[in-house]
Amino acid sequence: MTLAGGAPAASAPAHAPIPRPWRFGRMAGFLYRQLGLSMGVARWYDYAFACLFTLLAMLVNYVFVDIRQRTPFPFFFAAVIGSGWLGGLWPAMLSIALSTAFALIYIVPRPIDSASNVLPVAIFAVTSGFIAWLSEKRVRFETVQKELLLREQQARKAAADRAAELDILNRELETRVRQRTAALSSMVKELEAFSYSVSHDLRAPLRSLDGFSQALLEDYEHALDEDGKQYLRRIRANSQKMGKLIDDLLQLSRVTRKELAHEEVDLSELAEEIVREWRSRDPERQVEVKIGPNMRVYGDPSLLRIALENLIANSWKFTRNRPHAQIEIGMVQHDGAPAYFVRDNGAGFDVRHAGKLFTAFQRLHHEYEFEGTGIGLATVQRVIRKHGGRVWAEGAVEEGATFYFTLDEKAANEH
Amino acid sequence: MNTEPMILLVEDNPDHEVLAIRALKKNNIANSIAVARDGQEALDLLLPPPAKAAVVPQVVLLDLKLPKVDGLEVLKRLRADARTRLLPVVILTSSDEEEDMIRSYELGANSYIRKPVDFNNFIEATRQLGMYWLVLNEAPAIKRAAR
Repeated sequence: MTLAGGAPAASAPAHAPIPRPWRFGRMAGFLYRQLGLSMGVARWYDYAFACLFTLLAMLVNYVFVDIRQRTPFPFFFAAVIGSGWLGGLWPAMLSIALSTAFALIYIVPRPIDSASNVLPVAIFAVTSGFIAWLSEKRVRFETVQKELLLREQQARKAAADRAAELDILNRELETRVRQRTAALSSMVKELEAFSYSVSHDLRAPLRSLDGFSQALLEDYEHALDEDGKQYLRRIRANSQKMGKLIDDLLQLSRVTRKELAHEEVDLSELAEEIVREWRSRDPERQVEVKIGPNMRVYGDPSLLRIALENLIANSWKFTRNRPHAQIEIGMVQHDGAPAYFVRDNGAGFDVRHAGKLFTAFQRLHHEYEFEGTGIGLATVQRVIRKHGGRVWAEGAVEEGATFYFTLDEKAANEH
Repeated sequence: MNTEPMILLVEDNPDHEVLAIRALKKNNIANSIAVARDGQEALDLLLPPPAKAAVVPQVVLLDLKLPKVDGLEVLKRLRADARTRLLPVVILTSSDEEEDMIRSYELGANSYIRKPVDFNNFIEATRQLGMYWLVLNEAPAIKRAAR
């Protein structure tokens, strides 16, 4: 028999379709499908066994069975069942065909003169056909089951491989994260050491400059003319300015480094406190201050204080030349969320340069008009950004300025 | 006992030493200042070996950044010793790092003052310091009696 089976299932590649068995040809396949069946799964040796079983049954019938007294078909049934069990429909059909032919040729009496001669053969053929059909179902079911099992094993192995791969990647990632964290924390430490040394060492020479200038002014007053004294006063003013600059820079860097706390902060109370401080520091100034009540937010109290201090300090400073200085601290709704503001009727600013307001060291006023380091608003912006909010300004030259800020309180809450 | 300095200034920067003494002088409390120029010197004065007499000021003005033994370490050792456990120590430093402040108070500093750049402010701070620690403050006298 030239019945080449499909490739053995066990060696099939992982996702190959269930192997297609031997084909009868297009017509047979067509008929087969029309019968609601599909191609079988038998291999060549299944047909060989079918032949063998049937020949054996023939031999037994021929030698041992007295066909006039007993029916010969049980042996043929056995052959059909055996062939079907091993190879499914088509080997069983082969067995049926051979058995029927044998029965017609050797067992049925000649001439075929009555239906009672042929009937047992017909019954055998039909019954065996049914058995063959059942066999096909069974074999097919088993094949599919085997295939599924195989695929499952392959899938499991693939999953295990992938898991192992992932594990390796994970470990690599962890190592990398650890390295980066170490690098980062050493950088942070360096930064801290740097600002620590700035805080300690950079201010020390300034204190000497200021102190000895003052000493000269006091102890050698008689030896100095007005110019000399003026120069010394300038040295002192500049040392102090640099001291302020260092302090502001440190504050800016601290705002960046600080971990955000989240507590309820009463901005109204905070503003009142800051204004009180300014009033006692600058008792000769008359400033009308309005503060909106009950502005409670969630955020970092010390950082929000820094922001508010800077904003109020600005308003305080830039209203210096106003006969009726006014500062208002309050809240408005902006895009459906509260925006807090600090408004004054001071010197204001040119809107064209508003973009520079929040950049460190950028100033919109001359030093001789209003002193400053240009760091305050940059600090405010950092504080507000750390809170997930936004800060912006409105104003015009000589018409005052309003600084708004929002806080992402939800983010601060969940933080 | 009259020769006992009222203030021990621990300060490594000679400029600041001069300025501090000047500021104290301005406030008429300069007559009894001892100066230690590093942490080790301060410890040698305050906690000398048994044979030598210890200096017992009314208040120690301690800088944090010092050569040899830094200010926090000096403070720690002073608090660990029975003789100086209750000695008033005022931290007088350039640093306003929160960390320094917290560490100082944790180790038992009595006060923490940041040196202002403005000398006039410094004089004022010194005046208040002297007023508070030398006049107003009552410290336990056991240390003097113990010697």
